[in-house]
Amino acid sequence: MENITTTTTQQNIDDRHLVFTGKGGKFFGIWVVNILLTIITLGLYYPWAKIAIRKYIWNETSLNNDRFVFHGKGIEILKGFLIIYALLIIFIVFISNHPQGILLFYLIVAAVVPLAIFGGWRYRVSKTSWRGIYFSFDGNFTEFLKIYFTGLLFLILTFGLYSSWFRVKIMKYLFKHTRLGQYRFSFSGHGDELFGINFLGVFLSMLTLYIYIPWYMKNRFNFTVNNTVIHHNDKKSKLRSTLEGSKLFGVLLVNILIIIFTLGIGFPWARMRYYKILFENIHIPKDVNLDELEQNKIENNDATGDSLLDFLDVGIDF
Amino acid sequence: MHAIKAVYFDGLTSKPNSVIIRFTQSTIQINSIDNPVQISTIWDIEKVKNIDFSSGNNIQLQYGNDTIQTLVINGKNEFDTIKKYFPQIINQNFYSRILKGNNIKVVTYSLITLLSLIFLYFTVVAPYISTKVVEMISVDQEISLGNKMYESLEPYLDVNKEKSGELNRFFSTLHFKSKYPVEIIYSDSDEINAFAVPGGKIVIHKGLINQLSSWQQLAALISHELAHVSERHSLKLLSKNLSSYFIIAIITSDFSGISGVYIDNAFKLKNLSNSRSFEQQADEIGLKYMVNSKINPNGMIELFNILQNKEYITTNNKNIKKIIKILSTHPLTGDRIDNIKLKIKQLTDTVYEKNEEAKQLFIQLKN
Repeated sequence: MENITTTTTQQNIDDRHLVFTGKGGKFFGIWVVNILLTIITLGLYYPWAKIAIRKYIWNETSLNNDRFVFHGKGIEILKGFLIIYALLIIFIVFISNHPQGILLFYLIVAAVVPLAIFGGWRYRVSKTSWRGIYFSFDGNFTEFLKIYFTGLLFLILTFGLYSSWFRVKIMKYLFKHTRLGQYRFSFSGHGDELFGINFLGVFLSMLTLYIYIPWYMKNRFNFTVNNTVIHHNDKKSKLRSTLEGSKLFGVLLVNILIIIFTLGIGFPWARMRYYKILFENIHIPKDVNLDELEQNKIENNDATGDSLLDFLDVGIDF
Repeated sequence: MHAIKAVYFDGLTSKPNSVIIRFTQSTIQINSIDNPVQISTIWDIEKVKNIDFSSGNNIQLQYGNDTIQTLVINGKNEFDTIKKYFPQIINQNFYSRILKGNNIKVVTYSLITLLSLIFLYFTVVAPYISTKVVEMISVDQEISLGNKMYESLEPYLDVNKEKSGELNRFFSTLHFKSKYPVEIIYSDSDEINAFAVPGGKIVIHKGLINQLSSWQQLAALISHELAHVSERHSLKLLSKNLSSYFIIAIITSDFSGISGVYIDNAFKLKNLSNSRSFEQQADEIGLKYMVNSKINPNGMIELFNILQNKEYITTNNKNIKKIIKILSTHPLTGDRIDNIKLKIKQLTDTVYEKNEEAKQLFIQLKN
């Protein structure tokens, strides 16, 4: 394990945090337009709809008053989707003739999950910019596959108990190969800690009739954020989260009420409230000089992984 | 020519540069305010991209393909200046154009169109698709599908082989005609229930048979379930569900779980109305079976009266409850009884034959 020495242990309370300005009304408008066009085009518009949502979320997120930009294009996502759906159709036809093939289906899903995680992360990262400087990802898929399948083997051997360590391994790899300009990221979390969080989370959630869930979510979120390291000019600094369980509880409770009383129509407002509390609690230490970033772009237009991720609904919620 | 302040990023570093920008007919001229001037560049207005969704007072303009330069313009005066001299840049984004300013109209219209489209889908498109799909499925395929469904159900059913044999012999004395290979299964369960599986299998529970007092009532029950089979009701319901779920999936792709549950329930209500009409149809066709076989149709009314006051499903097993819920007939309503009474009144041919064999088999079954 790598030893991280944070240069700034205690941060000033007024340090920089992300700002989220998304508006429920606006998000609602985009959502309505999206659904309408998706229906009219018999689903073909879906990739553009997806891109629009993402562009909006990125666009309303800012650091130092400068907004993030998502540069993905619908056509890139469409390609990914067509590939996946073509494969799916071939597969369904195959299955209907050979019902035993369902086993093969699970195998294929297990095999494409790493592609989805890796490709999805790579696409999202390399299509994001801030002040015109791109994030980039220089991971190697063969390397990632090794990590993934070793982890999967352990996961099976331990009947799933290994999952916290597995997740941390994957995050370490993804973060290590992610940069903003020349600043590299890394992840300093340990599987033990995540295991503790998960164990406590599941146990207390059941014990408290799920009331503990916001605190569990908070712990997972803080674990991710607080262990995100930025390497800048030979120094290392960690992001810091100030998310509190009680506040998250409040937001989620009101969200549920909004959704119930609007019969679901109010979900865009709920969504914006949720993003706001998450993003605005992410702090970037002051000693990271954000004016010195240098362009270090790696081109990647392959959105197959991203579509797969969407399709498999694998949550990489960090 | 108006000059406004902005912040410029050159796309090579993240260093912010304070600049003055000036608009001409076809260009934006960008010059830094420091002295001597460090930055001096000209953008072709045609190629400037406004990547923002927001039409607030903060605008981000970008320029270039490889190296993307960025201009950030903040403030109300600056925004108004751009709006005046360069209106086409403000709502360049497709979504901002549609949703610009307080133009709530467009959203309202879209919402109305959307809702009507969804309505249209459920009332016209989905039924059409599901009918087509059902037509495409051959009787053979349906039978093999039904057999598979039955196989997964069988372990829960507590099948009584001997009584099933008697039931089938009873059925053959009725001379109901069907293109499906009918097989009736007697289940040793106390539930007051019966249901039809696609393709010809009909399950009747002991609990229900115990409630019956004449062979005509049992014949009525079988005729009703057989009508479900012949009219492919389960298949139609299944197909309708699937075609509706497709659109629900699109709409709810962004929903959080809880609202999905709402929609799901709304759906079940709709299915209920679907199945109500199926029930009525099964009653009427069942009645025809009875009349064609010269069985006194009053058996059907007696059956309904027996069932009306009974709780239909009384199992505690959640899974089986779910499965049976999908397949089983719904509680009887007064409407259905009235409907059948009316149909019986309209009958002209009222000669009914005795069926001693059926009567004997029925007595045997009840023991």
